Amino acid sequence: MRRGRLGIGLGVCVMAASIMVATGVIRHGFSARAFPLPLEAAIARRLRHLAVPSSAQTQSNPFRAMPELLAEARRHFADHCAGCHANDGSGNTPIGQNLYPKSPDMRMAATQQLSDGELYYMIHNGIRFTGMPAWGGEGRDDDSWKLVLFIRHLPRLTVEELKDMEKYNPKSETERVEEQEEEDFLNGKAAHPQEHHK
Amino acid sequence: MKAVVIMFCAVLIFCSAVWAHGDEQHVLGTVTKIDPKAITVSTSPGVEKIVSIVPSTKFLKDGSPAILKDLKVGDRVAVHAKPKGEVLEATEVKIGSAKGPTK
Repeated sequence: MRRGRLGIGLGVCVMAASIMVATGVIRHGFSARAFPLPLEAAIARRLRHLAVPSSAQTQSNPFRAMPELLAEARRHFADHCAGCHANDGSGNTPIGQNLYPKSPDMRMAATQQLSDGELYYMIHNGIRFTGMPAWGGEGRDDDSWKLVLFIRHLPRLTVEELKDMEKYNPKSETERVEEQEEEDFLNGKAAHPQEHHK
Repeated sequence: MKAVVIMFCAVLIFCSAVWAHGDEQHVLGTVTKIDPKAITVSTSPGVEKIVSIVPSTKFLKDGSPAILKDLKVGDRVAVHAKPKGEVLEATEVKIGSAKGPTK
């Protein structure tokens, strides 16, 4: 009986999703510029939740939020994650805002209310059909657990911490040159360089 | 079976991620006019650009957070901005320590 209800429920979900996708594709093609409809986002979040095994969801973080661990995770985040998620976790980067779905603002409840185990699972295994890759290797990876600590800290990130993170953001040679040119211009060491388009 | 149904739904719902180039512009020059909603920047002799200021615009002076009131006419600035329709909208305004027109 319960299985029958579940089957009907899933069938309805599939039909609703198919109609939404068909309508969306007809209107907008497969452009990543679009924003998911609230219903689509809600269904996707629910499916993502269902896709995480319950044993993984209830796992607790083996690390505690000690200052040195948070600093390590913060620099790791700046180096590996900030390209899409931004140093402050807002997702406000050229890549993050042009993905489909967009990188979420991880300071908000939708992320902060996920369990530690769920966050770890997503970092470790990635999320299919999004821009989120699997970062973990075989077995438990401590770096992902430490990143969970940092994600919990995001709503309280300080200006000093943000400034420190900028030193660890990956930069191309061109970006380094642009930054130096800007710095020299602002300090009066150089006349204005050419405008840059990023 | 459940996993197959979940995957099928997910395939239908999500589209593939597409990497895109950003459209951020860097405007460097000297401030010639300040309004609450826009600043005018002289980028080279005779060339001015108007950049909109929005609530989310961040201001930095000597690497520290600042506000619009810290900005003065004659300041050198590096503005990071994104085109929004016909206007350029500032995401970040770095205020320089040097003064005077650009050479």
